Amino acid sequence: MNMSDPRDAVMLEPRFKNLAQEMRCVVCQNQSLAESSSGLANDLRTQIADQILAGKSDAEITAYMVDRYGDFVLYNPPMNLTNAPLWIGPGVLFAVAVVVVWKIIRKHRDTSEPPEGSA
Amino acid sequence: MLAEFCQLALICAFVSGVIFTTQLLIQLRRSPSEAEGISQRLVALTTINFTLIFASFVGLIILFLNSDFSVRNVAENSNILLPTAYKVAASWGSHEGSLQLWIVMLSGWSTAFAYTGRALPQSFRANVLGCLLIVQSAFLLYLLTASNPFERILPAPLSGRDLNPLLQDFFMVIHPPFLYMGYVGFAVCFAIAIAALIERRFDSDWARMSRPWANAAWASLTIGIALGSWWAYRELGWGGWWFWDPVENASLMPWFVGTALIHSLAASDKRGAFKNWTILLAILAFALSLLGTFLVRSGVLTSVHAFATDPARGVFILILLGVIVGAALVLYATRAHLITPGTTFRALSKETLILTNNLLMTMALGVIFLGTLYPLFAELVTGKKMSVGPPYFEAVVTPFLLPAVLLMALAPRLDWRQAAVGQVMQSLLLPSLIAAAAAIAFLLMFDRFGVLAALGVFSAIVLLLATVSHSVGQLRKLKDAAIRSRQPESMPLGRRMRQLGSAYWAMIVAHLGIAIFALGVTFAKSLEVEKEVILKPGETVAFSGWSVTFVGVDDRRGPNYVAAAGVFELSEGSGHRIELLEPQKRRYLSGDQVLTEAAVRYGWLGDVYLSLGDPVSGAAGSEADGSWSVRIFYKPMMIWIWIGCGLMAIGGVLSLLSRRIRSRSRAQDEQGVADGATATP
Repeated sequence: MNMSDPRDAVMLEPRFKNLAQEMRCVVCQNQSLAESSSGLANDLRTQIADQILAGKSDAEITAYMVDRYGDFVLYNPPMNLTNAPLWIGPGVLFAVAVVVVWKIIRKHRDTSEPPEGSA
Repeated sequence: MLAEFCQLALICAFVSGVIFTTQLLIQLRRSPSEAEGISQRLVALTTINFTLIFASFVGLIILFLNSDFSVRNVAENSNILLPTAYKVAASWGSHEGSLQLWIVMLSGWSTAFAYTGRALPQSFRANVLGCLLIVQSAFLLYLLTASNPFERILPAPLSGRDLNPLLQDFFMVIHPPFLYMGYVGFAVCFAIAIAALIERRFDSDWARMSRPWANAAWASLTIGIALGSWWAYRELGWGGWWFWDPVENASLMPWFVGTALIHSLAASDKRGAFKNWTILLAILAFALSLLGTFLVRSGVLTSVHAFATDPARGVFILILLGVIVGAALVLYATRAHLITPGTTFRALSKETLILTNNLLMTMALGVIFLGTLYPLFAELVTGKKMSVGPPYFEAVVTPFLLPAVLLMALAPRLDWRQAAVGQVMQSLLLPSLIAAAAAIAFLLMFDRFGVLAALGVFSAIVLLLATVSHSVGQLRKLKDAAIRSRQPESMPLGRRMRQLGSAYWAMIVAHLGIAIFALGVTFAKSLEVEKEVILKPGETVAFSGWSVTFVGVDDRRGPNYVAAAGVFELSEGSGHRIELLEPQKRRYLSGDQVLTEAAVRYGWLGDVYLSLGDPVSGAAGSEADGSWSVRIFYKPMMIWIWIGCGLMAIGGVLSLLSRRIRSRSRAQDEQGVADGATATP
């Protein structure tokens, strides 16, 4: 196997894999850069490898991609004002659900016998 | 002519559905005393409509088999060269065909209900059938006006465009029927809930009646999703099996609600508990099935699985969804306060456990819903496209699913109303210790094994051991009892197993399925090995105790494709050849579409998965030396994911055999009396 190209070595690193998996191949239906075999995905994988070789940080590489392709390229949506509901939502949902369940348990509380549990 | 006959059959079904259902339901309002006659006529109507719809569906399949390209649907989705099995599958591979399959399933479920519901109160039966027929007519209207599967084109093309090659796979032949059977099965639960609301009939009978339908639908949906996922694993060629793709999420959302529903129904049936909530879940389950149909068929979301989409027609489904679900929710809102609360229970009881299950399942549904639909919403507001992908879903779903797995270990041990906490905890001590030891061992053995994976293994093993040990314990108790009472005839294992009842085994098997599934997922995810290599013929690459030798590439000819088949020798360690693996790169003749066909060697401990890339020219521009790029995966424990799903589905089917569930609304049902289940206030 031909390992003369330093990019090949980079592409085997977990760091590269993580980056490529978290970015969307923007011309495909719904595939990450790691999965896609499209020409663009190939180019972008090479880009990522080059930037890793150039000593760029993950954040810099991500910023570069977002600059060119917008947030669409990120599978892990960034935390910002537009995406706030996405990240706060689960917590709010959970809080509401816990309150509802708590109320149901209280409503059905068994009072017929002396309380020994934490009901 | 056949296409016209088929269409006529659909029109007849629609017209009779609308006219007679309306008439009969009005008559039922006016003179409730005639309920028996009305419900018999609705049974007849359901049967006739099923016959018409099914006949037209058979007609559609025949049109595909005959490659009648004067029918647009056939011309766009089939081809002369297409193998016969795929011609059949193509009849539900298109937008139109899949909706017709949806309606076939709906009318099939309705007919099944019509003939099993004899013991029900007649007006109730009539209301359920009426509700199902209305939904059926609504979808027939959609089929006939917006996506007619029998539309002709003139002049007829000489050849068809072909079925999308990705769908030309055996799993795709059987996946849609199972999936739709699951989706649509919830329609019966929905109709039963609506009938209960209309009749203000909130006793436990209603829940008991609903249970077999919910369980059957859930089991079908489980199989459907698993088949779809397995297909993606084999056919998409990049080694994944679940992508958190909108279309996958669309099927997973009703699954989570369905899971909540079957448990909540059990509590409503046995204890009269949470009836209010159970009705809402029944409405929600069908609503999400409709939403799933909309998401998959409208193409509003970009997906790897979007094969038959049409945004304009999606709006129609959205309106249907709004009207059906909206009406149901309005009915619910006006009647829900009439439902009496069930009996009391302690904070530590099976009721609470089921409530917690419902909470976790609904949460999982909620976050998937949020993540799936948020990009749509954000695009509307900001005008910019965004993506929500696997990293998000894994981060938000895992916190709800891990505790669900762990808490499930308590399921067979907690009693209704109140549980002996100390005893339960004691019985879980040993499983927890073993599981903790195993999790720590894996943490130390593999440095790629993270804390989350360790938690996953811990929860799954606790569940596995707790579930197995409970059933072993129960069997031993029965044996002891038989010895004490000197009844040697109740000694044999088979007899004791039967004594525990199929409902018990349904739970045990399904929960074991979850444990095994969770183990499979944890290992496959955290210990997967992936290599992308370029191999010259004769070269060998080693990974995870296996080695693969590239022999060369062969030309193959299929019925409707040509393929380059890579030939690889797989051997374990440095030993002898075990198997030849032949991943292919296929080019389909009709549309020049190129497709990767992965080769998988399934193993109990892990799958070896090869996916052929592209030919590579040699280094530094030298001449091609026959090198190809290949993706090699080792997927530990992968097969247990499918086995787990299979066990879940078997559990669902087992529950249908339960005597309690099959004896609809019979108060004299001995087991029901023994459970004190009819204790409804």
